[in-house]
Amino acid sequence: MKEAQRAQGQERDRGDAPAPTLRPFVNLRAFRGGWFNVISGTIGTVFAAIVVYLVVRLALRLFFNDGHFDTDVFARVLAYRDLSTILLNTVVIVTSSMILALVIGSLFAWLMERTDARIDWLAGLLPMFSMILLPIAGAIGWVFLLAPQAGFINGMLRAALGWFGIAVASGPLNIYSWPGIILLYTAYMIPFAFLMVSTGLRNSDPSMEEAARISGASLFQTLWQITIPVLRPSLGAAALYIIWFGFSFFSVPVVIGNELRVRVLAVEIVRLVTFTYPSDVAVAIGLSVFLVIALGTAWYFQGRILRANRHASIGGKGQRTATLRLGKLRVWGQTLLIVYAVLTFVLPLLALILVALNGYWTIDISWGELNVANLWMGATENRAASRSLVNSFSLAVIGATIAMLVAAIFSLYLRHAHSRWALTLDGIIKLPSALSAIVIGLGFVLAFAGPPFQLGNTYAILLLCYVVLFLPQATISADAAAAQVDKQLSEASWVSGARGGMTFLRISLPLMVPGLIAGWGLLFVWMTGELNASIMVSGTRVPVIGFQILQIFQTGGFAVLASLALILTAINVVVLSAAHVFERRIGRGSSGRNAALFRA
Amino acid sequence: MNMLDAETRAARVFSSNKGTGTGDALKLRGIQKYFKRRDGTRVPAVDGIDLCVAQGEFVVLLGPSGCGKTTLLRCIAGLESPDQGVITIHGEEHYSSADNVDSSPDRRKLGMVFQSYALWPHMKVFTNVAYPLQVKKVPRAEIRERVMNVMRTVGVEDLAEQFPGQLSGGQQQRVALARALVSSDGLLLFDEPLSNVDAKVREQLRFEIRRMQQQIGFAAIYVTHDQDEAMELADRIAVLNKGRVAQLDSPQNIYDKPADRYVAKFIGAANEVMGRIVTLGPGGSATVSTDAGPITGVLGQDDLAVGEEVSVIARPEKCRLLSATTSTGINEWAFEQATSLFVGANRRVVGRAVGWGNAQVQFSSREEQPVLGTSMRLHVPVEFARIYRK
Ligand SMILES: Nc1ncnc2c1ncn2[C@@H]1O[C@H](COP(=O)(O)OP(=O)(O)OP(=O)(O)O)[C@@H](O)[C@H]1O
Ligand SMILES: [Mg+2]
Repeated sequence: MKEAQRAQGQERDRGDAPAPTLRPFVNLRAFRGGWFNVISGTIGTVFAAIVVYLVVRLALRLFFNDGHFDTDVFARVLAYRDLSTILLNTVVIVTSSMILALVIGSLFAWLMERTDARIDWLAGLLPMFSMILLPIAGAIGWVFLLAPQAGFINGMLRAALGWFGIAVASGPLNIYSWPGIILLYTAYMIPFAFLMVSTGLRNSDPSMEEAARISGASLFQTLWQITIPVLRPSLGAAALYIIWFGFSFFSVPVVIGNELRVRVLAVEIVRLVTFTYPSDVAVAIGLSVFLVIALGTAWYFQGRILRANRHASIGGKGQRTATLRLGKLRVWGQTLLIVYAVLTFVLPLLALILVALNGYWTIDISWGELNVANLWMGATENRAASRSLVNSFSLAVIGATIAMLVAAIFSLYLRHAHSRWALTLDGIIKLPSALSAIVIGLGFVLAFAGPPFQLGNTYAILLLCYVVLFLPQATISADAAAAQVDKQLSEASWVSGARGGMTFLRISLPLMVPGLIAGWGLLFVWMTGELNASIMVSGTRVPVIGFQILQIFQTGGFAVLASLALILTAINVVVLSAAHVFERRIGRGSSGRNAALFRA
Repeated sequence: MNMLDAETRAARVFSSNKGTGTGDALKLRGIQKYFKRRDGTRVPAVDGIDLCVAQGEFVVLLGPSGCGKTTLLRCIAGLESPDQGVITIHGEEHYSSADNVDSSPDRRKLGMVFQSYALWPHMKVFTNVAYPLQVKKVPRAEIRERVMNVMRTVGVEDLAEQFPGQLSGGQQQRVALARALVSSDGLLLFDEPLSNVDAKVREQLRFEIRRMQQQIGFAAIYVTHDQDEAMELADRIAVLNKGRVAQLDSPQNIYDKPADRYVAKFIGAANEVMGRIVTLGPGGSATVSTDAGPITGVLGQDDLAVGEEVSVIARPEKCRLLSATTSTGINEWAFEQATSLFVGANRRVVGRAVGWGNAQVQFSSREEQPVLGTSMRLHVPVEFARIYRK
């Protein structure tokens, strides 16, 4: 029978009898991916269009006024009062704190990655401290600690000096000073350096260093001649991120700078939009050009470093080598790491707690009368404060969810479509992270606040702004999550008869969930902490928590702002730990299963 | 094999009885698929393939790495769109460049077994197998019955409540097969499904796939680059060369009568010597002048002419070693033994013969073997010296 069949088969293979054709309906080739593909592409296109629209509106505003070409904006920017001082201040502060941050951050990274001073539980937490405690709250916490008159630490120092018979009226330390502002900037920049250099160290081959050590180079020589050159790309990336962050950093200069009378670019831009009447968006946009120039320069140099270092090969991924034994220095190394945690997180948090419990800020704490009820009172009795808390919380929950879903859909689309169009969309959607929150915020004010959208001072504009602003970060998380899911898994579903939407719901999404949850947690924290864009976009109508804290600070309601900050910190801690636990629990299950599945 | 039995079984497995009727399960006409390189040049991965697979027929695509096997399979499944040609599955046109038809994979009602099995790690084995029916909105009771049926056929009924990660490679393979059976209308695609399991299990599974295929009667296209696997499984083998079918025939014919030099050298081992045709004899025989002197053989291709550059190929197991005293007087060379090694149960003698370079001669264990080491002569019988265009 087989033989007969085979002979038949051969004949058919050669002959060209026309095949009977029964055509399946609807066969436009573009729709092969089904409706889900069309919808994913549309979602991506919409968000890319928003970004393009923002950028175009900004650029147009720079050169046109009422439909006429006109360089008036530039003239007004150049005539802006104290422009050169403002720019100089910004550059000096960002550069000096960047250098400090690079040194300290790299040292931390080296301690954690290559030496026995590593503190395991700190590895994931170290970069998180500055996020969990809202930067503006952290900065205010340091004001509570180091204000010349009423700072808690200053009080204690004066008491200590008093025992030695030295009497001082104020100080001896002062947060409202150049060292104060630079060190605070540094504290918030260290995480970038730490993360980048850690990654660099983890990916670089430690055997090069070992070889140098064996051939007799001292620890210092090895560091200088081997480690640092290899890490140049990571350091470059860290510098880039730090510049990106530093030029638009708002929390510290707005708290410290006013009193110190040091004005910086970011604060000026926000002030022009929100705290000036009538607001001067045009000049704000003009000023933001300096910001874009700084970022562009940083990108350019980063690109050159990367090109020049292409040969600096990276080997031995993942292999863990013998850690360097520091001997007596080990304790010092660990102390340094702990001190960072204490300075950026524990001390300002304690100061906030103290002020909140006490009900007002004073150096003479009556320890017996601290009242836990005060903690809640501040935030709950102040209507504006509780509203801002609700706003921020709901915006972050909704915003993070939307951003994460959009990102998940889009990164799957990107993986499967491979078209030039999809790649272009991806590039555009990631653009907001290359620009700064200030620029995007300005874009929203210009493009959506007025006609034709009239979304000014609404909840909707804030939500949209958050989603657009954080979509790049969301897509990075989603890309990572999607990469974990083998492409054949969704192809198998497709062949099994499921269309795109069904495959997304039943296969891709469930498998991506652990990664998406981790990303969601981060987005939540970023969104509650967002300040520059929010201030410009929402103003006073829809206050968010960071803005509220700032306003209360300026009017002196310290206990209220402290309790507000503490409640948010508590929420952040809970959300991040829940995301972490959740990710680990599902993640272990499915990734464990995954691993077993691909071990074969 | 009981035909009736197979048909009722198949009816219980597949969603419609298309797969058990007569006619072709699959028909490919002139399929072409190009890939664009970075520099913009188009490279053909599949370059004009015609192929018919009858109901219940097992066709193996065999070829070296990169010859387009996976691409062709993905084109059939609809995961990739060809650039030219017609694909007909169970008489329904699913791709046609001329008619601008290109249906998506979910409409093609195929089963596919992936190299990595592609079982969904977050679903239990039962759900994995039931999924194709669930997405087609088959009633629950029917799903339960059909899934359990298939799982019993494949031998994984005890594993229904397990997660894929808890299964062995062989078990995962069976589950993947069960899922493919459930989703198909009687045509299954396999992409090197056994390359991830170790040799022992591979042989066992190979045997079982063949048994199940005969029992249930599905048509299959099976991609592999393992010759033994192809020989064992196939009703017909399609040997691919750079995106084209070099030969499509039964395993026996592929082995004994390769269609060209590429197939002859790709399948099995071969002794080869290059030369030029001197005379054409009767019955497709010819004499070739080579470095090893004149050789008389048979033409592997019909259209060879005198003076054409050719290669003469002789399989090691068709060659003979003669003692110095016996002589056939034709196609004989002095042979100097170098080593001898075992290939499975057979012994292969490797030595030097003038013009042949390193020549190999293979004996099966049952054969009477010559006393080695003494002065010997290599002999290639005329009917086994096959002549191919260079
Ligand atoms: N997505 C793609 N883009 C560009 N070229 C591709 C792509 N997929 C396959 N190719 C090329 O097409 C050719 C055929 O590839 P294919 O994967 O079909 O080979 P194969 O026969 O399955 O090989 P193997 O036995 O290694 O699996 C190769 O030259 C490959 O480089
Ligand atoms: Mg392949």
